[in-house]
Amino acid sequence: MKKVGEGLISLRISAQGELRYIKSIQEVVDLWKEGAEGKIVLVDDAGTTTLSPILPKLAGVVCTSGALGSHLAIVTREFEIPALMGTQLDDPLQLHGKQVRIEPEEGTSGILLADDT
Amino acid sequence: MSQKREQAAYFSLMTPEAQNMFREKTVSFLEDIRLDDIQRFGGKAVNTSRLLQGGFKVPSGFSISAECFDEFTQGSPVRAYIERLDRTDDLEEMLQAAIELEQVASDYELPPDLEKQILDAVSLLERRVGGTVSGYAVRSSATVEDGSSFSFAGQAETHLCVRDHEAILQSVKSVWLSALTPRAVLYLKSKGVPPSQVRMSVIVQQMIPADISGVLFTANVVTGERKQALVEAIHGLGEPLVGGKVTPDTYILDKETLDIVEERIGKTDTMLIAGEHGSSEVPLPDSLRGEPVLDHARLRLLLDTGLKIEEMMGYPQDIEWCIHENRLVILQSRPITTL
Repeated sequence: MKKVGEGLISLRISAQGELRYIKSIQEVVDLWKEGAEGKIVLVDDAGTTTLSPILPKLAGVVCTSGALGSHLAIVTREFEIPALMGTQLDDPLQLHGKQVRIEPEEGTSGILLADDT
Repeated sequence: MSQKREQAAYFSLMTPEAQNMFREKTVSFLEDIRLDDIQRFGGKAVNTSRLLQGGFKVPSGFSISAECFDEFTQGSPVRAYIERLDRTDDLEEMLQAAIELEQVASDYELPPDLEKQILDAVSLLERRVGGTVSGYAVRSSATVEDGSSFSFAGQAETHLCVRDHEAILQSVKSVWLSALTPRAVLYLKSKGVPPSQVRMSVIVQQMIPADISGVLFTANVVTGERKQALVEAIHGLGEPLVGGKVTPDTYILDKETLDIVEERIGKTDTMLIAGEHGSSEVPLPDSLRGEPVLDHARLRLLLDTGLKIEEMMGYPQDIEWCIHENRLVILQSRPITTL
């Protein structure tokens, strides 16, 4: 796996799974129907706490905005899954469907690794 | 004139119906709310009242009791939808019911006596604060909110810089409705709470046109380390921070030495400011870009205040705060739910 982004990690735990880029509530419903177990969801808007119905099943969340005091970070901590907040990514679309890993680094830092195949 | 004497003087100008509603605590000023009023005024109002009673600087305001929300939800069409939401575990049906409920509930008219009561309280608040340039903040205080087991963070709406009376009444209704949006309902269901158990009180507070805003966790929520505190800060109002629209400054502090253990400067190009015509996003001045939002002296003041709040509340706290004209104002405090 290679590093594709870094951000602030909401909880110092690792998570690995298939990444799904979610942009609408309908995509949340689709993932809920398909089975969200073990998936890592990527969202652009940390205000999108409509992830709640699938949060108990997710392995982790990656968000391109926000930080550790954002509501999404608070809520994901309640579900004991890591959220990588304010993550800078070159090409979020390209990560959809790939195996990724959220990994804590020093302090509040975390990185996102993706399968490079 | 003291607030109590001013309140008493103003009561004499109210209609008998409005006086009764105050006596019955349908509406209550924050400092009059007690610890055991949580089922009536919600977690946020009770916690804010404790801050006021502890001598912390908190914006003046009042809270509209959950009984008013009950009256709204007991209305026939609304009740049926809430029961439907309680029964189903099917996500698509929940979404559909929540969308239909939103449409039905939007036709609801506030009872005239409650309108009068709220506007009387607004008038009294205006007199207390000597008028307000930036209007009022209308905020949720659900009975399930800001508790020790889960936060309800970001699920209900907050309306900032609400100025005229009609807009305040509309905002109250809108905050009620936000307890029943798909987002809130789905959060509650995921926590095993039936939507019918939610009762929503609404807080109306003086809007503080903040120069700097942020959150302070009096423990390091990332690691669970209680000897450290975590601060995030941005220029202007705090809504973009808690709403996750921006990447703020992040500071980890040692609670014993007050030293900075870690500092990350945020990346923001804009700030939200309060004005006469609502809040607006403006470019961050060049002089502030790339510079720390908080200097060490302000971080120490903030941490010192946070530790006093933690001591009073008896548990590590998640505190929203702002600085206006060099004064630290505490906007809310709730227990950290994840330690």
